Amino acid sequence: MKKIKYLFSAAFLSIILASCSAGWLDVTPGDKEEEDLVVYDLASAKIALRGMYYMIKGSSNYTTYYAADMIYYGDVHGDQMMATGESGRGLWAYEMDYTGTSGADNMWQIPYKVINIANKLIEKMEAGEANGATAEQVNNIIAQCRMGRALAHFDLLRVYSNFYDPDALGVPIVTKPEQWSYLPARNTVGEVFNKLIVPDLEYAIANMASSNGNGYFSKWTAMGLLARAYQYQGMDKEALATALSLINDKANPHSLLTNEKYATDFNSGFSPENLFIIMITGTTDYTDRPGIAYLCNPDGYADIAISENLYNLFEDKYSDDVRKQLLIADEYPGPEAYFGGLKVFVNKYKPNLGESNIMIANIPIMRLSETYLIAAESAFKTGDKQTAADMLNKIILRGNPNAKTETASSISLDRILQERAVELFGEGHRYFDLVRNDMDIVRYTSSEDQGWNLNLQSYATSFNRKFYKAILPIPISEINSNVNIVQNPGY
Amino acid sequence: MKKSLIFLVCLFYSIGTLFAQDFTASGVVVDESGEEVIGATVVLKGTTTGVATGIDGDFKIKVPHGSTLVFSMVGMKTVERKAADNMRVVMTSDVAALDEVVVTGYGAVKKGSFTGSASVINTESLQDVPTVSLDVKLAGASSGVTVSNASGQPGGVESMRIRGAGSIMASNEPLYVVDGVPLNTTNVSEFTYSQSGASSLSTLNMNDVESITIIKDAGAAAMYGSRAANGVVVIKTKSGRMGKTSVSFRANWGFSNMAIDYRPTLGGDARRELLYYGLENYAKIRGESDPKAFADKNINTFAEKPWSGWADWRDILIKNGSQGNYEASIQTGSEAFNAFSSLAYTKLEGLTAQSGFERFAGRLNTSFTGVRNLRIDVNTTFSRTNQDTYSEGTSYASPIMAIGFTASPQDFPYNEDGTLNRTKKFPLLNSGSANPLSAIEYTSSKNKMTRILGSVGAKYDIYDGLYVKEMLSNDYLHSDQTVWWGPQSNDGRTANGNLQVIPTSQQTFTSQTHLGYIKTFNEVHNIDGLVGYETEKYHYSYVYGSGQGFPNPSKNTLDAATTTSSSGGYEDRRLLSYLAVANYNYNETYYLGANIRRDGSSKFSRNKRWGNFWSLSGSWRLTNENFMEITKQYIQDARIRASYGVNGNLPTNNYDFLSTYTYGNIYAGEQGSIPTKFGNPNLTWEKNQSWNFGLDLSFLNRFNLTLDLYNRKTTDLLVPLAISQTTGFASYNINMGEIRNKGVEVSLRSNNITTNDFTWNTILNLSHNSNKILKLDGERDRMQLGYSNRLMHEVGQPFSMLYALEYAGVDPETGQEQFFKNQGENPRETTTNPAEAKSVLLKKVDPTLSGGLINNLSYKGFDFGFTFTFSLGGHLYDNAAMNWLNTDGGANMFRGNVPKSYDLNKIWKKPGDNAKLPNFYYGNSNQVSSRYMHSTNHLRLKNATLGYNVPRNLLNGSGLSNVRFFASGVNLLTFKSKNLVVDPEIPTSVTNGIGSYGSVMMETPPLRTFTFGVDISF
Repeated sequence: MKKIKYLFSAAFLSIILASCSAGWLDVTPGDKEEEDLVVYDLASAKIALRGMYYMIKGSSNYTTYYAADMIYYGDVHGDQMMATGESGRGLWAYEMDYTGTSGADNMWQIPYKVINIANKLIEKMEAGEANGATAEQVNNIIAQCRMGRALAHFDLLRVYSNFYDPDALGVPIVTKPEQWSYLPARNTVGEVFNKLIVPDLEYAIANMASSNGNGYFSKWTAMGLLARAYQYQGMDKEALATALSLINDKANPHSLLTNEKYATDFNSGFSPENLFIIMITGTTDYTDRPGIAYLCNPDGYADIAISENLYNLFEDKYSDDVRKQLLIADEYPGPEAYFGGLKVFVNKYKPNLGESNIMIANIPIMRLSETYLIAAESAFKTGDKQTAADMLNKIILRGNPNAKTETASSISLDRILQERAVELFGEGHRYFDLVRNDMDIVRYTSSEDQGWNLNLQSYATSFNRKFYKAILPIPISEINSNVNIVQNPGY
Repeated sequence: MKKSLIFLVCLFYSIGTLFAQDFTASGVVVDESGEEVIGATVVLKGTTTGVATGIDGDFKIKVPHGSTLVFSMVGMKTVERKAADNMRVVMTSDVAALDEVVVTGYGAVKKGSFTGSASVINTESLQDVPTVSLDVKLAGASSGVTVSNASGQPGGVESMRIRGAGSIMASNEPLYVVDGVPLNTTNVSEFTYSQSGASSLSTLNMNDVESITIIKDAGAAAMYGSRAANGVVVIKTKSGRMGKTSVSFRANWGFSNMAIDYRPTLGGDARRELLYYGLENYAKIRGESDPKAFADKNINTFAEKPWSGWADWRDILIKNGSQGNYEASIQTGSEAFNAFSSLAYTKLEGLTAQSGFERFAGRLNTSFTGVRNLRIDVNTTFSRTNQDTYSEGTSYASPIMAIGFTASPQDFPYNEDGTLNRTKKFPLLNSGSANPLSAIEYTSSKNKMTRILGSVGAKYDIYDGLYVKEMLSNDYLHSDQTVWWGPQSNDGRTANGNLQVIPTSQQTFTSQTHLGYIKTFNEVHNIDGLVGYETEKYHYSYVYGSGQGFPNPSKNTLDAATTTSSSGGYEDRRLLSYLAVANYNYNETYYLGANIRRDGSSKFSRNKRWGNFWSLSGSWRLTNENFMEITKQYIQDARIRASYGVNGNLPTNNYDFLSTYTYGNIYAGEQGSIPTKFGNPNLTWEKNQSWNFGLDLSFLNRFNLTLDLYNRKTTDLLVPLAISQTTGFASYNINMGEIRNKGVEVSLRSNNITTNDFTWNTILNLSHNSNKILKLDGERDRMQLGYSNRLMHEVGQPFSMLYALEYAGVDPETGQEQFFKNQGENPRETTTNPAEAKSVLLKKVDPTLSGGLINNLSYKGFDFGFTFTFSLGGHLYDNAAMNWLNTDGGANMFRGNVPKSYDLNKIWKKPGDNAKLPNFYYGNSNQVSSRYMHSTNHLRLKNATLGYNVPRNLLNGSGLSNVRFFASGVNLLTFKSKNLVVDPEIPTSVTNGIGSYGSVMMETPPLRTFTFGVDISF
């Protein structure tokens, strides 16, 4: 009996002692990695770098940047495209109703996530955490991070500020990983451009490789964005010079697609025209149904379509243009088909070659044709009308080799913007083009010209860039958590 | 020396028997199952001299030769025996008794000596209630406890609140302890297509449960330390009983439908008439020359009578559910061994083809008491469940949303040739492929769970009240979850079939090592205590696989997919605890208890890991005092109790203290890592400080009253603090803020009538809890948690307050909605311009008063029991009505169903009309206002059971010992406000938790179930 007694006591003690070792309560997270252990060599740095691209691309969880919202915001907020209301997703930007839990809130958050990822990786790279990487490799990664950071700041300016006015309130510049208690104030638009976007892009141009592979930034992407940034600032001389240096650089591997290949190769990863294309290879990296491809497709959410005015423009003036092939109709037989089966849906995000799943589609973000159009517009504005016509004609003729071209004497800003509309519809440009040029955004003025537009509140039928709803309110969550942030006027 | 001292004191106290010749009677008191009865009173008949039995049920008492001992214990029948050596006294439970045994998990004590606040629920009367969810059974049965379901789908997650909600980010659910083992009760479901989730509690066969003790105050709960903030539910399962082996079978069958008329809608003709009016009205407003022609032209877009006649989607999608339950159990016992075993099969079919729950559960509880001083308990249970759910929420595939909103009478289910209608009707469902019938036919969501839970405990009595106890347990919970969207379904269409599978496993290993001591000194000083050491180790792992492209839709496994992808991972958490418990009572009159526990959790960083939790409690049994003798005929028992304790709550996530990156963020087909957690290394426990004052009174030989007052203050709240998103994160988990819950609980039991043939007793449970935010982040007075814009959390107000414009009815001049301004000089002035009005905190979600009324009657062989539950003062916000359904002509109303509350006669038509409903026209819009806020006041016949026991004399010779027939039902009747078209028991969101509490969308209402059954024992 005594024996048992001792056995028990021994067991009691041994269990206490055995489990009592200090480390027993230290557990490692199985599906996560501690931040300090993430980057240790070049390969791990590249994994962290891909995280930044992933955030730019988005997912079914992060839909509010280039996964969908950033693209359709630039379209349905304008005058030539509209939300159909079929799934209700694009309505907020179209109706300009920014209250509630719409994308208006999260278009702020995701770009700052991109910035945060970039800043963390820059810090790690500068601290030499990527053991064994050459200086060139390190700089190439830092350059991509700075390019991503510049893009995110630029997009924030486009959405939340009057980006055409250097003195207007911009967005906070964030250049390093910050603590949770960080409460920055808004920088001015000019500060964001001059202190962050331009230096970051200049660094990127100087340090990035000519190609980092399909789906990644290159030196040429940075040049394309810099040209666009100058254009948005109204610095036409710089915009023209940057655009031309990109177009004319002998080392530039990018070129316009031919007329024949334009429609088929538009969002192909092999298209030489894409300065930056988001590569979606399958269900592991697609953005699922909330993504732009499914939103645009009549067999998907059928949520976004071109307006009757753009439809008529194509019918009247571009009926033989290859770009018209990037519009498709709902193929449902009979009158039940959306818009009676007219070709009003954007097919720029068509399924990749050999892919039947309409959600698996590459998303071109920056194309060389835009650079030509930047060159044309900036040249026109600086008075170099011959260059403007030359640049514009490249785009006109590529669309239709038999089309009427423009000359230095016939060219006009309206003509350039019309060509932009036809070339870049559905890619998130139109609204910003109108704002940049201080033009009115007219969806309709009466029931006669309402076209297919849904019934809108009167303020949303026609407005200009001075209307307070032309830019989004800073999300209420940011206002609530950051006392230093000033709200946009009117909200 | 010591011995003589005891002797002296004994002499002093047993003065009445001073001259009799004494000897020491001794023995052990056990119950029917052979379990020792702790704390039973052993009294020398005719005196007040007595002792209480120890932790082993043992007693020693000095009495004169030839005397009689009276053994009594609340909840048990009193027994008289001749005093002797080594007695073995068997006490049987007294079902009709007014008091019961409180099982704390650290020992069982009779309620009379329990210093904390607890409710004991006798599950016998609830056995027949047809439901698999514990909460439905417990509704109304205890004061201070509210229960709810996330969804009416069977097998869904249940939610229990004990004395209100004190946490924002941490769980508000209590800790469940089954036979001494803390139970993992997480929502097993990885998918959120269905709002029901998958309850791991549903793996337990509730008919195996003998008693449920709900510990409400911190005094007792502090024994469980860092997990006890929300109270503890202690479940004791059945065990073998000494005596004849008995076998029983039971079976019941029944059917279910919806407990309420959920979101009734207008029929085809009435809907068409209303929409016609809306179109005509729109044309008038727009200035069309011929409004009638406009309406004629457009009406068929929205309300065209289909070939089949108007469709009734309730009839098409919703069927009666069914329920069958079959179980067998056996129990046996001898001096050395006793066992209880059961096997049960349950099958429930929900309200649609894709909703059901099936369970196969077995249990074996044994204990070995053959070896002297050693007792070994082995409990094992296994179960397999199979849960089918349909999509809920705002999913196109939701049948609940279809009947209330998205499938209108013009959307016909089948074409004339009998094929599924896939035309572009169903305007709200994006396309014809979304015909809700295609979701029912071609999609499924299944969750198969396997659980094996076993524990082995050994208790060894070392010497003179000193014992050591060791218990080890392992809980293995495996779940296979499959979501299939066939190529023919809307969800699977574009991917040509989509399959997702997630096998998960959760393993919890616990050890408990206790060294205890129990002893009575001098017959009046009763002490017991223990020191212990406990560990818990939890491991979770999952694999996720998905496949797209199924050329053969009938073969839906991953290997039949054209493309597949996968991911996976694991998580661990650990808990290490040291504890000490001590109780003392003097002559069962003055009680004192204390416990302290030190917990270390892997959920915090090294230097924030350890926390101390403790409590003090005491009680005074007034009726043991001499001065109470005179009132004895009125007051049989009176006791006051007080306790104060500090316990804690852990964050839900395992690694909130670490800044981490996650992988699996694929870009361009390759691996990417992103930062996903802004870790807070200083994160630590949420702490609860609770007071409890209680009174227990038995009076007039009939009534039993328990009254409790409590004040529970939660500090260092775990809060997801909203931070500037320029940091890359939206929130940072931090300890800040304070919430207080205080309240009153009353439980009154009455034995109305007790005769040989007829008994009737009534239990009334009432609870009032008031909840208040004392502090948020220290800077802001208000905040929202981001899950719901309908809730605003403001300092000084209850945590869940609905927030919107205050609706002021229809403006008689314009027919528009009008609102109280609630700002400026005349806050009570109304306006039709929402910009001039201010949103305010309107009403609280939680009820002011809730409770239950239970009646049990029996007459000869018949018994009848029923429970009413009720709730007063709570509110909910109908988000679906505000967003879509009640928008006075908004586009969604035209495209979908129209609520039955729309009546042309109640709509504003011309200036001067004092109408109930605003002007109705196509394209109208509405505001977020209190118009969509409703009272959840209700009274519900929660359950009722009618039974008949065949008289024994008829069974004589048949070999049967008991035959019982019964009929039982749940959610039988509901009385609520007419304006409320959803269930008044607010569902608790599985995904958003407390953050969206009070807002309803398209949740499945609870089931109303009737069953008939038979129970046979021999």
